[in-house]
Amino acid sequence: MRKLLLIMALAVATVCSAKDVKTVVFTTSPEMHCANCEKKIKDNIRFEKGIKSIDTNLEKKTVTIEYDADKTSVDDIKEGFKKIKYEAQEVKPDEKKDGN
Amino acid sequence: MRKKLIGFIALLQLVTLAYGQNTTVRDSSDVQTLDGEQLQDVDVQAYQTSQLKPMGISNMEVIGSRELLRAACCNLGESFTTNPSVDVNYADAATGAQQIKLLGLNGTYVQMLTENIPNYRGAATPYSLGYIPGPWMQSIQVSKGASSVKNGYESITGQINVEFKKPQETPFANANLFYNSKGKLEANFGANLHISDKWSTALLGHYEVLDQTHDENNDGFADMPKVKQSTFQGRLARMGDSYIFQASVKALKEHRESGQMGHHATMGNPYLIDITNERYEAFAKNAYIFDQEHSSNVALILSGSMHRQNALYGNKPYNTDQLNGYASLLFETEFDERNSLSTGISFNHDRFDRSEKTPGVYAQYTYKIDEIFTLMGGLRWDHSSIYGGFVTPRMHLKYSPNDMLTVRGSVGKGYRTAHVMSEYNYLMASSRQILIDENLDQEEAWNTGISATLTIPVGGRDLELSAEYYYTAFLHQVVVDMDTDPHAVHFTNLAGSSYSHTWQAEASYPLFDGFTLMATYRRSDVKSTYSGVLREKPLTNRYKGLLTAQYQPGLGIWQFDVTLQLNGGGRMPDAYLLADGTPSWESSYKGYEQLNAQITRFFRYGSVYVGGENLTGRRQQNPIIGAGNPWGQDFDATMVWGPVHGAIYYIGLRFNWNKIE
Repeated sequence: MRKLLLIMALAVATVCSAKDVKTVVFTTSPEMHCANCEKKIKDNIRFEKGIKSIDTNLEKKTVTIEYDADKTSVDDIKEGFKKIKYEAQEVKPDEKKDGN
Repeated sequence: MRKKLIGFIALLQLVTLAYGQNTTVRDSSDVQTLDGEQLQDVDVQAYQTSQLKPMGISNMEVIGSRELLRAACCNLGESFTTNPSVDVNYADAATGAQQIKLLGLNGTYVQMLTENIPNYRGAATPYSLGYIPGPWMQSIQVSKGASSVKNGYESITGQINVEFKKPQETPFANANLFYNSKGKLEANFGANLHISDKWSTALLGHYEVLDQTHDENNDGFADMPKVKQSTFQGRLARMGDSYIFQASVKALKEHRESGQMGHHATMGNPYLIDITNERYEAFAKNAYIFDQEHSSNVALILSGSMHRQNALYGNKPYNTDQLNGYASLLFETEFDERNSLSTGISFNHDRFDRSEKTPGVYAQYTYKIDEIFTLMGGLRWDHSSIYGGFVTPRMHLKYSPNDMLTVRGSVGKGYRTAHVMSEYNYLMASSRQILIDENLDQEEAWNTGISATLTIPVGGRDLELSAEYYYTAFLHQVVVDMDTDPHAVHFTNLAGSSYSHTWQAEASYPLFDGFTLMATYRRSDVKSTYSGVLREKPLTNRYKGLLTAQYQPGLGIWQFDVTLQLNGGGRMPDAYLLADGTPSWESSYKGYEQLNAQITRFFRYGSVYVGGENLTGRRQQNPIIGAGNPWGQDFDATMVWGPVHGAIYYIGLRFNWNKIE
């Protein structure tokens, strides 16, 4: 029984560690300006493959997305935005610093 | 631009959303999207929870589109499963007629509205909760206490307004299939089409069938009636800058069969119930805004309906043709940011069991200091061709000193004409003799209420608390007396006092990300005078507890909902003695629970849901008295206080497409 639990724990750990979860921050065009825009983005982008979490910030007009890099890419996510008629521009970490 | 938009929104409020009340819509899914640019100026706030309490002057709960996904919500009646204020019960154990209760009183004292036009009165009352398919609805507004005088004099305990999906919405197409373990199948569809920049149209359809019978308590009677219903609605809208027009036609046909159709039914001369309902409705709304700066506008609302019912309860027929016509002409203006006026005339014509014509006039003045203080006073005068002239005063107050606290108060009068056979013909599913006094009074009552909502930040999240108290006192009432003679039901004028006190407290808190818990407790003290004695109203629950939990982990692709209702016991009508000296039924009934749960998986273009209702299988064991001899003296299917069927499991599919704009 102990062995079995150990094997299962190892298997879970292996699967988890295999995931390459990354974070990307986007600004959009047109800009996100209201709760309706937030809802539209969240309601649609969540169904794109590999998306783990979506966080919108109306004040900064940014969308922060965690994704599984083994399943999707920044370009694929941008394509997802195009389906709902938004152009997504990646905010690079150094740009974020500048912005702050 | 901003003033024009404010005017436009005011007009929309008048024509589309809140012709009855000053409503601030705070759920983005329920806002009439005009276009993206205009929405920039609108304060739209999406709620985290799906049960909404708008910031308007009335104590209102909005059941939004998200809330309607939390349970099967096949029709209007089932949409109140997760609502703390509205109770839905079977009116009898044979016909499937359902009735609502608000503030402890029958649904007849609630003014039913569709698109803010009075609807579902008279013969439509017993089955109307099944006449609005869930997938047709955009939102439901439940207002407690005295309502605005704009919609007439009828609201006594409150208003329930249903907004349908509309032609002018973002182009959509949807479909829904539902099947449950009792064999009920439902299919719905809806779609709209934007013909031009201004004109749009929509078509909504519904079909349901239950052609199996179940008899869980082996009394020979079907627990639920066989039902076939089809209904369609066609709509047209013109959304111009100054002139707005909306029209709708709706047709419904329904056939119900019930009675001794169960597996253990006697074969000789079965007692059968057969009810056919046909209903046709139409309305047209016109609004013209002529002064954008002051939101000054004129609106004309016309509606009509025809309801034909052919019913046979054993060997007792009840057939009726009812016509209703309604017209309302309104003028509204804002003198400045603080003062506004609404005034108008109306005319209502009912051709029910008797004809009644009621012209009326009203004025309503609102004084508002930002979002902090609002005072609204309304007065209307109507003249009934049966009862003569009568005055309806109503007043509302809202005080919201900060973002955390809102206090509301209301007082007002309401009246209604009782159409007893139309509204209570399901009582014919018994051997009770039906006695109706001549010269029944126009029902008249005062309603007074106070409510407070408090938002307290706790652990970085908002704890929402609310408490309310309502008192309804009848000056005149048509009392349904089932006590004085257990073999009769007597409709008679109130001689004495009749009132309802209700206290309700509610707490809602998102315990952790994606998980929201809501708990409500309500206590009711409802009494009326029967044969000179003030007594507790029978078949009325003394309390209700409601606990709802919703969990939407992560991206919200899965949703888990659990609803637990604890319904308090109550008094039964007086029983008669059987041959062995024992009473025909107990003098009271005990409380009972109702547990519902649903799991929903969302997809980009729809969702799949599975769930169960009454999962603990609690049901009234023998809801039909004298089921063994329905042609005898003691047959009575109306002594119903609880569920008449056990657990029901269901599965459903929804397809939704919305144009991305």
